[in-house]
Amino acid sequence: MTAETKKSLFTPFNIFAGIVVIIGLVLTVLRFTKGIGSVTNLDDNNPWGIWIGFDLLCGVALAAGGFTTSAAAYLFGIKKYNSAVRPAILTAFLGYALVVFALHYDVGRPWRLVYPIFYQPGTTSLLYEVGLCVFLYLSVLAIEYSVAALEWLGLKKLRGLVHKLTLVLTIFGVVLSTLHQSSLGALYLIAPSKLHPLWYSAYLPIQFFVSAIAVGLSMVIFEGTLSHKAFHDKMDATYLAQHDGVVLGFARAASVVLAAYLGIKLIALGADNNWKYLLTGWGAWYLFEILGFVALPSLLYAIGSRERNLPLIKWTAGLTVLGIVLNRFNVSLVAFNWQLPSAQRYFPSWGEIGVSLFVVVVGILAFRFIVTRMPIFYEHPDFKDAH
Amino acid sequence: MEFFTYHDFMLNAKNAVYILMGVIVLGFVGLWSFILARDTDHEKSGHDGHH
Repeated sequence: MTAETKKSLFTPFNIFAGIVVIIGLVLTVLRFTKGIGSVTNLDDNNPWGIWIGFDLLCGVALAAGGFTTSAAAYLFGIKKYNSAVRPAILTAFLGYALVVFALHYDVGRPWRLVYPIFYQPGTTSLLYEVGLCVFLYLSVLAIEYSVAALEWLGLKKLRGLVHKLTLVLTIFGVVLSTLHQSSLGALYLIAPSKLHPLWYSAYLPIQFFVSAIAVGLSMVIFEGTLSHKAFHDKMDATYLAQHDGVVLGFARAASVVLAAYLGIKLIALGADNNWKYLLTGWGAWYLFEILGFVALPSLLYAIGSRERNLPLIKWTAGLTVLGIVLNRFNVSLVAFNWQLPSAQRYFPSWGEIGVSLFVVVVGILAFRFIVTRMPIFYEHPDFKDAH
Repeated sequence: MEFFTYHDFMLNAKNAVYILMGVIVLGFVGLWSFILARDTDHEKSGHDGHH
């Protein structure tokens, strides 16, 4: 190994990623040999922890950039967003793949994952609907993403065949995403006595869906900003030329969607006449969430897109991503079982945090592996103008 | 305010929500015109952010 290779291999991120992967592998062995109780703080009161609250709920929401970007480019015909589609589809594909990967830690017995789909479909269950949609949408994303992989492999005929399916796949993606993003919120409708009234609402499915669109748009901006720093040399002139337009257009859309989300939250509050809870400690936490991470980003996006202030928009994208993560944490963990005494409340173990971190790092490593090899940020020279 | 029947509660809750909906719709119009306000200026100056 030459000194230069050593220097490029042992970067701070690689060392950190290596440590996390080793810890993750040890935790994986522990989880699957000694059972779920050996690495988690889950119990009968708290059967769902951060592997559901973060890995699944946040993973699915943060992957919503795939269907929002492809809908904007292919369904609404806004061609200036074309260059943003592949990175968004890749992020969504990896996001959903990792959601399924992480679900194995919670559910256990990976060989039984196909049971709800093929052997015992519980067609009256929301979980079945979520599972079916995630299974179908992950398949759709794999096919959509495969165009880049086929270009990389030089399989022209197969690539042409798959590329023809783009419009159908986009429509499928939008329909499936609408269904399961909202169903994830609907899952919590079963627990009116466990979820705090400020977060519990009959509008939960709509809130989850609308907030997923907002965070999907924000993730495209956020991920694009990080990619610009890390993979600038992999981007072609078209991508770089369209990037600012994508950021401004998505910021404008995100501002309006966040305002709609805020409106739905307020209507939900009014419909159940829950104003009185705003004066409690829980109310302060609720206001912190909706003012700091919904109203404020909506306003900042509006100012940023009006003034064409790209740095402001990029910071706001990060704030919005944080806000949706906070919302999913609040619904699934913080405001869930709020009436229990603090000794019985759930707090994740180091093992759970380690596995979640492991999943995120695996996602980043897979993203880096793909974009440094396949035509994600650039058009493949053999397929110019074929998009 | 006390509610003696569910009907009373729904009437009260819905009244507030209808007013809220009106405020939100007006807010939307305001937000949209705020966002678009500078578009004509940017177009005139030829700097539209899309290179």
